[in-house]
Amino acid sequence: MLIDWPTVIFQIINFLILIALLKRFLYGPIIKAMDERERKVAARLAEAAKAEEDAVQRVAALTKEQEAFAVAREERMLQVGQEVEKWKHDALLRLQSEIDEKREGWNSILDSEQEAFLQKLKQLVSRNVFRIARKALADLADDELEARLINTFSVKIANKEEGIAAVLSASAAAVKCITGFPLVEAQKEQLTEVLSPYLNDGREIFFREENDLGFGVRLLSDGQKWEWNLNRYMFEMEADIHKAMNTLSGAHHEK
Amino acid sequence: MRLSPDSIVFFETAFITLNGTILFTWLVMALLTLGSWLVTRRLSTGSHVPRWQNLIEIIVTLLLGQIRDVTRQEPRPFLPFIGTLFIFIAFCNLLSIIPGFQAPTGSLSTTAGLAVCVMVAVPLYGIRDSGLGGYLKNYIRPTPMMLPFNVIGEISRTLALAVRLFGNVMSGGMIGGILLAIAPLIFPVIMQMLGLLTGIVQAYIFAILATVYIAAGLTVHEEQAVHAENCDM
Repeated sequence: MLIDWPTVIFQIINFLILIALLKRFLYGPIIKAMDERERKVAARLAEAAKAEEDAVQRVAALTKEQEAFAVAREERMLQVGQEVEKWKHDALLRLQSEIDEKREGWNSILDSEQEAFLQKLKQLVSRNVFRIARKALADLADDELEARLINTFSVKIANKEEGIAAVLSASAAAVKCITGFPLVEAQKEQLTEVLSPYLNDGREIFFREENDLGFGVRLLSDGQKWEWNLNRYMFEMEADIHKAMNTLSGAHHEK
Repeated sequence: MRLSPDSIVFFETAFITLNGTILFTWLVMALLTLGSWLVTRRLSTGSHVPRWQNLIEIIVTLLLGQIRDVTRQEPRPFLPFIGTLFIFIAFCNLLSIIPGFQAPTGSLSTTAGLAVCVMVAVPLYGIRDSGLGGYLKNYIRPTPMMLPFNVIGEISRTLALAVRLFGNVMSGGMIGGILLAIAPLIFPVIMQMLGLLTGIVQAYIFAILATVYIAAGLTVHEEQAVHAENCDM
């Protein structure tokens, strides 16, 4: 007989015991470990899903922020552009104003300088003109003209013109007669003769030559002076002309 | 030539006979228990899994997948019974490669005991699933006239289950012995290697058939539930 029934019963019992042993030492712990691992994996998957969701939300938020930033940047760029344009416009206006002020100042200075230059030029020209005229007259003054001057001078003394009388009436010890050219003896005698009625006793006449005097005669006596010369006329005329020029330039400047 | 390790008697009294089948079964039980304890005493739940734990988890996962595919139900309640059937039979068959070891599955007493266990487990799972009445009604479906045939079918499939495993394992050992006598070189090794493959296949067949038989009672219950829902509609 191939089947031994007591052995069958033993084997059934053994198999049941083996089921219990394996359930205790194999299936239970293994299933528990697998469940624990699955739980951890599920937790990690959930964490990953949450992290992904967070990342998606973060991406959305960043995208939104980026868009807002782009809009703000556009607005800021526009604002900055407007500010720059305004600043440029103001700066140009300010610069234009400064340039105008400077130009006006320069023009004013230039006008002043030009006027001063013209004034100086005029004075120089007139001075030179009169200097040349004086020089020309002095150069043209020959013996005949000097004789005529002495004659005219003698006539003036004889006529006791104003000024001469004051000089000659002074109680000076001496009278000085200064001429701008040399006198010949005849001329000295002529002058001594016309002056003699005015001279007290003991008073003398001294003749002296001074080239600076030019074409003229000067009488000096005890601090009194009477003079006639061509240069004086020329100087007076020059002064009058300068005065007239100043008056004209002042009127032009006021315009 | 011994046909069964039952004939190896180590100890015998008037009531108890300790033969090779029982002794080798105890040995297998001890090895499986010890191995299970060694593997599961320090289990890892992290990303790094030790190789033996990995192997056990692969086996358990495959068993759970096969049970789920066949029963179409939550497989964990069936795992201890089905899994132990597979692991015990496969381990016995694999150990038969060791010289001197007589696989307990080569004993008709062992396979008959396992078949009886299956025969008892089928109604137990069926009754737990659909109640005693619901399970017993399966024997009179589709008509009460089918009752004898259903009972005969229950017994015959249990007998077939026992004899199939015994015949395969026993024949594998017999073929190995015969070839060893005829051609002692190379061929016995090939046959032994083939025996390892057939041992695993037989364990799988035994376990999967037990699952099918158990699932048969559960399937009826599911069909009944579906039928009842259709009637209500």
